[in-house]
Amino acid sequence: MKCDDCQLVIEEYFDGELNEQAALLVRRHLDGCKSCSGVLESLTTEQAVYVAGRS
Amino acid sequence: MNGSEDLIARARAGDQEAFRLVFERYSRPVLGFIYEMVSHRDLAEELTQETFVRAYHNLKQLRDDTKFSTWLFGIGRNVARESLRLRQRESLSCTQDIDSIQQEHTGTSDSPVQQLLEKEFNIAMEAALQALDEDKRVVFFLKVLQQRSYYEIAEITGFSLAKVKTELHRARLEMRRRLRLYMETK
Repeated sequence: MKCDDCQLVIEEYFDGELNEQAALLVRRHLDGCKSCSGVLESLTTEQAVYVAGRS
Repeated sequence: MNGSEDLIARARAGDQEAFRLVFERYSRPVLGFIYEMVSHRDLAEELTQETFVRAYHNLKQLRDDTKFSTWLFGIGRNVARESLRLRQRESLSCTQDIDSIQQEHTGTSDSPVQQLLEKEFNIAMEAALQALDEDKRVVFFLKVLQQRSYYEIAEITGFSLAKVKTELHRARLEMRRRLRLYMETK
């Protein structure tokens, strides 16, 4: 998987909406890609901040 | 046994206590959902009551107890939309009650400065949410704040799955842009 492909589905991956096979491809890419891992980390941080902001 | 499906089945059979428990369990998320649509706390509370009244009277029409939540949110959405249409017709303006938001969001951090920052962020987040258009706001709320699946969101809103994904992506971008300064300090 290339970064462009990963970026297309990374939100779905984060949201737990990908099937196991597609999720596995994303996980493998994330293991070796700092840029895409950073995007995932941002999504995770934002989610926590939003939830905390409304609690 | 007070599992949701059991409660809903009992409520459908006319058990008022079961419906009261259903109300207790779901009223808060429904209120949050409606508030995202109407942006007014008192009105949202009123519409939440209306949602549960309609749900109570129409419980027998619910075909699948496991989809109660989706069904209930769908009623809430219709009730809120009717109210918005009515308000548009009457040209009522609705302003955000900042004071009530400030009272609701009390900081939990350990220093007054931190509490002030938390409060400021909460107000900024509220403003950012309200700046989203209705479709984005509802999808964002259901996914990010209520952790609903795309399928459930599509069922509740009537949107296609593709539209759910698009609106969610755009909502996240807008929220990120509006709250960037705050995010960088988190």
